[in-house]
Amino acid sequence: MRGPFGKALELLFTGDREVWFIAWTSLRISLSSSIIASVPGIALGVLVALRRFRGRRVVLAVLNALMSLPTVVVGLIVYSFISRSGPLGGLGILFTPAAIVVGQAVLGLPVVVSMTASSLSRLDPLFSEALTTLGARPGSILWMSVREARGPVLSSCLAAFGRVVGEVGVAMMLGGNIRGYTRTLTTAIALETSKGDFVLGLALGIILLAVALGVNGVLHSVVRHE
Amino acid sequence: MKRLIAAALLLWAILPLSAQTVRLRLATTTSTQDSGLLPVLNAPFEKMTGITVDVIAVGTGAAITLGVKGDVDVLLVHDRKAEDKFVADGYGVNRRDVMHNDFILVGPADDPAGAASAGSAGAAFAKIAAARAAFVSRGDASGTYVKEMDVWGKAGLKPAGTWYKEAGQGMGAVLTMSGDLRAYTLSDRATWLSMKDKLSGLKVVFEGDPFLFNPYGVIAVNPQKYPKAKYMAAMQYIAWVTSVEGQKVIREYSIGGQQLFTPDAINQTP
Amino acid sequence: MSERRKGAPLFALRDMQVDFGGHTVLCIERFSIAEGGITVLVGENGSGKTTLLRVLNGLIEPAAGTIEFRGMTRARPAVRAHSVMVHQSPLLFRGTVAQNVGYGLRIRRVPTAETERRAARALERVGLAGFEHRRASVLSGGEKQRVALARALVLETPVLLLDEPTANVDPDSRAVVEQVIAEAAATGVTVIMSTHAADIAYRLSDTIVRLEAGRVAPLAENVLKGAVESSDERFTRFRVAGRGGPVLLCPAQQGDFRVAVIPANELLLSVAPLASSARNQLRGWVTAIERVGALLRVTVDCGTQLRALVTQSAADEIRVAPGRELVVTFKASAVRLY
Repeated sequence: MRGPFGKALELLFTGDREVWFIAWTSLRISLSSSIIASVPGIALGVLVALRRFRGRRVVLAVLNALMSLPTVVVGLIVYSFISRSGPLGGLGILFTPAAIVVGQAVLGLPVVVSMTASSLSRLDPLFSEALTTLGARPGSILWMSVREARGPVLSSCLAAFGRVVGEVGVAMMLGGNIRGYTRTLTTAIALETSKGDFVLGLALGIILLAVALGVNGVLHSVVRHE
Repeated sequence: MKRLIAAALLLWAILPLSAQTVRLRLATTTSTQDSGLLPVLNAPFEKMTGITVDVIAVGTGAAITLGVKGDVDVLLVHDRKAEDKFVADGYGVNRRDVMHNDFILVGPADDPAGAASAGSAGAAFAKIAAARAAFVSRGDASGTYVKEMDVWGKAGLKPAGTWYKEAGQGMGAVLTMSGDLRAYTLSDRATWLSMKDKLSGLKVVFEGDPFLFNPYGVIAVNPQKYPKAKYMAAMQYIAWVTSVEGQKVIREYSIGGQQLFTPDAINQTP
Repeated sequence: MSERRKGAPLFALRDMQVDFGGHTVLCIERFSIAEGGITVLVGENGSGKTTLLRVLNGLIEPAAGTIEFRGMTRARPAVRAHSVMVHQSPLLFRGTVAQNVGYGLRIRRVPTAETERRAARALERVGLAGFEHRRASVLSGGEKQRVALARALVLETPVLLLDEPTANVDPDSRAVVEQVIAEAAATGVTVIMSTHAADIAYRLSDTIVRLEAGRVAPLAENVLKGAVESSDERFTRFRVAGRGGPVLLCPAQQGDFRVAVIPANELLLSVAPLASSARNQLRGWVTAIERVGALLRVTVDCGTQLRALVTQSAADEIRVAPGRELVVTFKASAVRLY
């Protein structure tokens, strides 16, 4: 009785090239989109946390709402922009890995912004005043605040990665699950499951878990110097 | 030092996201992909022309929509009415018949509704409805679903009730569900053949009625509507699948010794 | 931005109002601080001392009113360049002591060697020599506060704003901090600090400003610098500094006192000396009369300027007028020594 664990190990260690390539595609695409979401996400999160502006509550509410959007819906929205019959169709990125990166960045951005904002609002409000009085400009204040809240900010990036590496709606809609090109672990799982091969689906799921754990582990060890 | 390595890895990961080869986007149905034909059919074409075929497998309805939006370059689907409308509306050009397989009625080995003895597909469906035997439907815009609806229509019935379950999933999942529920379902022969070993308790209950014919058409997306569509590559693909060699590949494709598709293109006279 | 006016005060506030969450926390009609010396803001918690310091440093915007810095109105860049504030809680950031202390210099692009040199000197001044490589997070409260002070001192600005500099500091460190403040003022730095430690307020200050519920309260005390002349088991004699400074009789107490404080409403004014139990009687003449609310503040020169608060009717009875000779009487126990 070969279970999903056994199948997963078999796929990985008999060097099934297709599975390795699919895992690599998932990793590459989700890492890229997480990074692309994190850079503006952290900056926006700091701004939302530290500056008082009208409509701040509205922004926070919208962010929370975005995070509960089904991934398929986000996929549909981005699709309507990058479809050949859409305004950005000329870019021709639909059904390429780049399209998935864009869609997943849209998924990850509110996660990073909202979590960064909440962790930074726990900083002493006078912290930015202390920096200002020493002559710091807004850019330096942003950087120093992020440094102070380094742990929670990293967690927010990892949370974004977690959201995108395991999602299937955007990857399917914008990537098309093209074999050897845009097939990711999640779209492959969806495919095998719809074909009825549940064991293979679970095995791929275990591999996906291993990938996610691996990324978490690596990042935590790199930023361990507290 | 660790940071440099990490940064370099990250850059290498992000960069190779664009391709240089010509990529032809083919929209087709999940059941076609599930049959396993496409890698076999496309490989010689890719080798010959250097064009990479990106297969995007969705339901027939979605495949047509992708064509309407111009997001793919060529369609390979099996819904004549929808195909004709696609061409008539000006979205597709140069439609050719490619091949056909057939739909079969599969069901529980003991055939509680006695569908095997029916004289036609419509009659078989009528027997199932009368017996209120469990029936799983694709319930989506797929070619299989369209055919199923056509058969119900021919029998003059509108299926409804707890015995009739609309799954909203692909053929493989629907077959698995039918196996679990000991239900009847309409399937394309190809998917059935590739899965039947895993589906104990189900057997082919009814087949052979020409009404259950499942013809495939290949259509290029209209370059006038979408100048960016890869028309030349699409025409090369159409040429391949309707060529003597391509049709031979189709005929020779089999699962477990059984031929799945019957080529149609070569039989047409100009 | 107007040119710096000669003789303009360091800070001048007019009709200033600061609001937080719908409440007015600071409301000051007319107020100025001169260049040089130590100005101490005293008052209860919530009286607005910290808010006033933050407004002066340009860290918060007033809801209304104007602030001039050295005569300039749009002076934010000048304020930023020439003054620095140390908050009540240390607010050090992650990293070493050296990284904290050197931060202000680094963002001013001061070369590394000079930054290190100046940081080392600042740490010496606050009694933390050699602390450069310690992690800021493991320091004690008092050490953290001194690092924050060093972080500000190292910038060598002409103006220092300190919010409760000795509040979170252990007793040994308090003496160090006081000394640092006094030394800074002696080199010409203007120090504006808040405290509710009365002894520090009186000992260090050149000017005391009392805040009550967001407003500047009128002066109600006489703060006289001087030294103890002699002390026996009955009285301590305190000579007020300056030519002709009188000797004040105070209750016997030990200590190196430098400041004598007499509340203004403890001074009795009369035309002729009073026969009373009060030990202090000084002759002088009226130099100023100001209305303060319902009372009058009468300033009498008796070798030093003494201010007394009296009612209008009392003032009328003894016919208070500029130049009038009066006797000022107060009890020994009315005098507090610091």
